[in-house]
Amino acid sequence: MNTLVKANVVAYRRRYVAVIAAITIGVAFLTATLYVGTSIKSTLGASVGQTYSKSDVVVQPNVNMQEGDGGKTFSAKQLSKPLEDSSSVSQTLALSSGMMSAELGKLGTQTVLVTGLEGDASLFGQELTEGKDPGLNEITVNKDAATRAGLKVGDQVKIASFGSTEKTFKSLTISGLRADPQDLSGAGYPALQLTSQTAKDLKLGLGVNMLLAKISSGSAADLAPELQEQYKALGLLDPTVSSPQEAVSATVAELSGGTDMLTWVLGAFAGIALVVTVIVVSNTFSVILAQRTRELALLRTLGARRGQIRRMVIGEALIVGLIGGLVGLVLALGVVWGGVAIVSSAFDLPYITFGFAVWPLVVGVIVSLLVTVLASARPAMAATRVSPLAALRPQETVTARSSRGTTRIVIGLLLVICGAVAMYFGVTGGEDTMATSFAAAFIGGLLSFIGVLMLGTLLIPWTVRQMARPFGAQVGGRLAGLNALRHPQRTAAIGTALLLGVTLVVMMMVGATTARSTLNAQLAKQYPVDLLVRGQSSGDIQGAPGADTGAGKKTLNAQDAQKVAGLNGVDNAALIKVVATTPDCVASAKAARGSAAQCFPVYGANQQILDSVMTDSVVLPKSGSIAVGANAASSSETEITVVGGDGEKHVLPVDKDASAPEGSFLVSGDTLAQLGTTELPAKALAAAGGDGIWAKADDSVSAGELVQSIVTATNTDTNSVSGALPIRQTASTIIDTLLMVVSALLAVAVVIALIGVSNTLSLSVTERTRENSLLRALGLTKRQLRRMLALEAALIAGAAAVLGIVLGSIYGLVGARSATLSMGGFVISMPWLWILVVLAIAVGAAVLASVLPARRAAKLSPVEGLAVE
Amino acid sequence: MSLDAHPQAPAATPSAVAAQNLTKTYGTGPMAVTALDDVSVAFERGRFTAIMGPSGSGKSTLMHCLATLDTPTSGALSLGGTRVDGLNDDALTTLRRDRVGFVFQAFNLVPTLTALQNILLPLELAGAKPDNAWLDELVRRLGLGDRLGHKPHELSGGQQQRVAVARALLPRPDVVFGDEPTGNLDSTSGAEVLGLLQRSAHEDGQTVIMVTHDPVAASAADRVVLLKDGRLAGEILNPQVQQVSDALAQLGAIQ
Repeated sequence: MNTLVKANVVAYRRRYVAVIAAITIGVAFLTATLYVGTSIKSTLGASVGQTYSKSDVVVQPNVNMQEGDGGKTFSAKQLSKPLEDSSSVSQTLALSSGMMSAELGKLGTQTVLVTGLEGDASLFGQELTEGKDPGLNEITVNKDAATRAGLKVGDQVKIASFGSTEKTFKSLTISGLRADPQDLSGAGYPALQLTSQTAKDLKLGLGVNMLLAKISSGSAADLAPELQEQYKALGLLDPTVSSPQEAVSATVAELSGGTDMLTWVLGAFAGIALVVTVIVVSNTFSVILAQRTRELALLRTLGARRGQIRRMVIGEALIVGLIGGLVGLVLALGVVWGGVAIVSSAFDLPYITFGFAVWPLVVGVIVSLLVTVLASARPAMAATRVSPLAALRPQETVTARSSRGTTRIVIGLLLVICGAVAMYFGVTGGEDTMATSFAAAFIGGLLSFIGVLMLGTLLIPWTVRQMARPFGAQVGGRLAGLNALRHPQRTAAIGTALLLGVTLVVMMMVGATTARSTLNAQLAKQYPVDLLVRGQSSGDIQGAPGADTGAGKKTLNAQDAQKVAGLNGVDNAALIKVVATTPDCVASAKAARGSAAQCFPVYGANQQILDSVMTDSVVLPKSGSIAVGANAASSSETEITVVGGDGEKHVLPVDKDASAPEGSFLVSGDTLAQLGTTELPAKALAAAGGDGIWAKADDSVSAGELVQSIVTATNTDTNSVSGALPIRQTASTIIDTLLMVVSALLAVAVVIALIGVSNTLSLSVTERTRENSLLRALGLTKRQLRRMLALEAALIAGAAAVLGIVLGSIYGLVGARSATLSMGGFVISMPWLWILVVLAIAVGAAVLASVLPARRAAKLSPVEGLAVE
Repeated sequence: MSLDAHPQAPAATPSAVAAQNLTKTYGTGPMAVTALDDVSVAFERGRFTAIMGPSGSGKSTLMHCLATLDTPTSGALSLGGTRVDGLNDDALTTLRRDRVGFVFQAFNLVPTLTALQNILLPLELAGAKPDNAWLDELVRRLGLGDRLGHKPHELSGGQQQRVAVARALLPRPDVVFGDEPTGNLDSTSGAEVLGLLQRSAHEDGQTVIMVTHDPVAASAADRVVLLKDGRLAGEILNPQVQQVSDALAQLGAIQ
């Protein structure tokens, strides 16, 4: 039997290629995920390991102790004593560190990581590359920072305590340069080292956070109990004494909580890809075995027992799975190792290392075997049902058996209904039930999707039939439709694999775009203007109540607005006048007092101007009413009293639907005339912050750059500019990045499904060699034959993709709604272009996949084809 | 399509199919096998001809070449008065579709289509409308009654072959080729199929060429062309079963 298994795999190797490819991709994905996890850990290890690289014992006091800040304190000397007293310890070094500011040559004032060294500096992890260890009033700098700052040994560095009230920048001489720090937590900051005495003199207030020691005999474990006792006797609550290896693992474990999370999330995507792999492999096995019915029957007539047939089939599956798995492992190792090498060299980060471990390989092999055995179990069972008589039948009678499984359909329907109900609750809850709503929507979506997949044997053939209709007028089209439905289960299985991938991808796209537009609408309500420049804040008048516009403060005018409008990245900009103020502005201006807490401007402009500079979806205040911005008045107010240019008080009703920028009011239309057309008194205008420039951005320039150029153009400062743009851009970037990453991860599943579509089509064409030849003999041209097969592929892939798009859109909208229940409005936004791209990829790939089998079929002469047994 | 170009009187008309010096060689060099060796043969319109010969005599190759399913290595071939040697695959496919009918030994019908759809298939491929009176007549002759809506696997072997014959006859092609059309049938079903072919030749003036190794089937034809080792080895007009058997035995004996 073993000979037969091997012979079969070799004989049918071409048919198994796609199975191997699917398993390879699935297993490679999973294994790569695991290696990303181990590599992150090894990178963390390499990064923190440098600190301990020269020592044998690491003591972490683990208590926040400040040297010399009164109360119970520990000096570096005190903490070093137990180590020094130990007979086996030969050298000790106490490290204390903190973030400080320093003037570093060309770099100017920088935030730096300062480490105080007490003891034998040769134990410090960053090796000296030049010069010597620091003495009193000397300092060492890491090489990279020194190069960037243009500093060399003998130069001066000024250092000061960060944030101390009395900054005393003191010059220190560079005594040497060191290797760059690899610790991820301090990466990027220049690293400076000095003696603890120097640190004390400068009143840097560094706390001891670690002691390192070199020992002449024994190990860290031998010393640990005794040292721990001594440190506890000193008054430390939780000192740890460990070997460098233990310290590294402890730190890595602490830092990599998030890594495990990442591995799990990536693993979930790998899981989806593997589910698709199982479907594809199982279907391919079914098809291959159906085509080998006569061969299996022959074995049965020759005396093979059912069990032997089953074992033969599973044996073939195991060999195929093992081959696919091994190729996948090599691929995963290559990709992660290569990726790490590229990142490491491209960014010159030597501590980014590939973490090799044996267990991901073992997991990969086991999973590949499990996947194939799982996938081949059902086809193998079906194969054993072949009766020996089948071998004697003159020709294969391939008839579509319609055993769709009533139980399956009932369970599927129930799941869909339960899921739909749960999703309904998920989108109808209120703000208070948000967490449960999302959970309900998630579970509902999951249940209904499993239900839909179970109903695939009905849904997919039905969709194919509907889609084939328009092509039925032509005989080629009709045959394509009939062929696509010839084996409904085969079509359903392969369609399900594609449906799974497409649904998830479209769900993410629709969910993300809808969540974004909902978020944008919410933002627009709070911040109805992209960027808003104010001449001066109301607080600015505190120091100069008598001055017209605040001493030296800029008043914005129409020319400034012109400049802003002309900037790159600005769609439109206009000067928006303050047409009235709250009564407090007038009062504070008169009294020349500083308190203008309730002084807010009332901006006013006609609808046309406001439409051109405010966010698209914004609602403007109706004539006669006023829009209230956030923090300008209590949200319960129904009327606002303002003082216009005529000096009169006007009471305006609040328009709750309309928005105004934060800390201001907005009027438009007839209200402008109602408030009086006279200019506001300069003092009140100044108190309210002066006229503003409102700008609408076109998103071609980043928010940061745009703010900078507006500040330059209007001669104001960054505090004068506010608005929705920075938040909107940040949110968009996050959503886009997440969507891209998730789509890329899901694309793996789609690729595997497309391999399945291609392979099934190829096998079907082989199976129908005689029939295709008959059609050719009867007058079907080669081109018609190729078109017929392409259409068949397009119908199967198209039906799955269309169903996936519909389902994905529903799930995406439900998900987005349940996740944004706390926000008022729900703005549906469909990424039609991307949906079309998904459809085009699915159908295009399927049509492309039909090219080879179709060419093979068309090339065969009718005589040869008809002679095929 | 020349649906109405079939004269009722067969004798005095030009050939429906004519081959001049037809040669077919498989392979090259010392491995070359000559399946047809300089065969010149003509088939009159409205006649039912059987091609016979021992296994390996080249009778199937001759039929495939005559039917444009296979291309001869050399020689000239005309079908319904049109030269067809040298035409490209698309032209040949169209020619087959419009002017040639086929009945194979087995696997004649497209399994996904019903009997009626199978009958209409060649016309649909050509985008032509069937002659409804002729269709009704054929269906009547078939004797399938209400089974026209059934799929092939729901029909018996004999019924399937009769459907195939009807499909070949419906477009009134220049010639209908049969490749062992009774090879898989019991004698009753075989006789029914042969009866249909005979009737179409005699009543409708349809040219029929059939390859067979069965003397009983061959005796249904008006003429038997004998083949041996790729060459013509004689012919029998108005053959009887015994005559054909003897001739075949003779061909075999000379071997």
